[in-house]
Amino acid sequence: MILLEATNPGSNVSLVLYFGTIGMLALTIGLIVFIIFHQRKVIRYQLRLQRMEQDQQKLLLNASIRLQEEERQRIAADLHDDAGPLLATARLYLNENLVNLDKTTQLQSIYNAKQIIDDTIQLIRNISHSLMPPTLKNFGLESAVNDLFQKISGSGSMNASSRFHDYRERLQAENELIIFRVIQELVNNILKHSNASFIHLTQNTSGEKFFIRLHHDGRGITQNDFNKLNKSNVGLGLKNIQSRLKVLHGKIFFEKDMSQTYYKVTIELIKEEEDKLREQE
Amino acid sequence: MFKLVFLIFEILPVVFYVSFLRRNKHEGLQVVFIYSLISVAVEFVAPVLRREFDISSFYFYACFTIIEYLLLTIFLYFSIKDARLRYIPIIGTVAFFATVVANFLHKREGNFDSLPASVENVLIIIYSIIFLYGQIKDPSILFVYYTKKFWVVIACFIYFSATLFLFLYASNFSPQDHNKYWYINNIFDIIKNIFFCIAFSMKKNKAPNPIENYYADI
Repeated sequence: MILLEATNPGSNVSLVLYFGTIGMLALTIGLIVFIIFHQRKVIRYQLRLQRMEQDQQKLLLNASIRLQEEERQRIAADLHDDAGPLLATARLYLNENLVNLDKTTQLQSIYNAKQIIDDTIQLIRNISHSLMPPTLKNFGLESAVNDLFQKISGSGSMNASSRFHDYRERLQAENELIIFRVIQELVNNILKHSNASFIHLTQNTSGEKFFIRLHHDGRGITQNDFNKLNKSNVGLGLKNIQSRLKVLHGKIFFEKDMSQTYYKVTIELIKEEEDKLREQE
Repeated sequence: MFKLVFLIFEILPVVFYVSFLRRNKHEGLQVVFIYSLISVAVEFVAPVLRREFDISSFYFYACFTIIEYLLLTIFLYFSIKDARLRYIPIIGTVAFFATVVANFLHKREGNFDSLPASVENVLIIIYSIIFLYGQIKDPSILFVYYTKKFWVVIACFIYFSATLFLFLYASNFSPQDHNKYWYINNIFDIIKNIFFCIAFSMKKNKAPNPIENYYADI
């Protein structure tokens, strides 16, 4: 019928009317179909993103489990290989006292046993300190970091310094521990891989943001390297850093200094998040 | 026969709304229901009024155009989520009423208020596009076609697009032309009412959220 109308030379109105209507209808349907397909595409994209995020989470979780296991193995090895033999030796000396009745020999063996027990106490203290540094617990992040950097500097292998510009109010103890572990991990990486001659740490705040920056003059990594390592199966320490910072809703940036001479690592935390966590507690 | 089918489809949205009243509560579809109700009333009362009181079709269509525009604009205004885009229906309404007044002052002969009806069509099409644009942008809506409002807007979008050219020419139609071409309006009115029925009969929150389900599987 439309074609018949259209082929009639005297009916311009009907021609425009029909073609106009069909054109508008085609445009409308086209637009609706486009919207539906576009939305499906967006959903597929979102799902893909979420899968990737989930894979990333799995990687982080695996990394933290592996690290936890490694830590346990290390403590077990320390106790088994060091504390165990020491205590066994002390027992031998004390056993000797039961057999040997000579006073001088008894005194000597008691003295030896005491020395060994002192060593064991020191060893256990070291293990305990590596689990939770007492300076951190008692005096806070600033003192613990200063302590750590003094020890590094004291070893003579590297010049290490730290400066806290605005740390009047301590963060929550758990959060301080997380930040301290991240700093430890970063410093460990710098010591192991960078071949740097100095490390300098600064802390400051800007509005609601809390920053910790590490500078060093060795070989470092950039944000791209960090992202790549995070997605791969290697870089366990970096994944550990990432998963720890995730707890604090913090961010970490790896970059080269403006002068292209130093590498810079910036840890960024939001103080509000800290307050929220405190309120939740 | 066709007229009978048309009238049945005109009543159907009202029946569906009342039948699925619980599903349509708090969905913002009351305005659409009132619009459907007025459409039914017009179809049944208009011929009687015209016959009994000899009222010109022009006034009749002009009144219906204004009511139709107002109701659909209210519905679309509240459906558009982006506050920055909500000023468009307000400006459009000013333009629409300016056209209505101008048309009323200059041209009162003829059977149909072509200019205001065409302006109404264009404006409703624009508002529908704005609404759909908002739906695409909103990340919380995963499948647009699982929302009642989507079907109502699609109904309006198709109806007003398809009848735009018809309404543009309608004022120049002779009674014969009117009978010849008016079936276009009736066909798309039936389609519009079918979409309204789909919207009214849909279950609330039917949308399966694939992302939520995805997380539920983990």
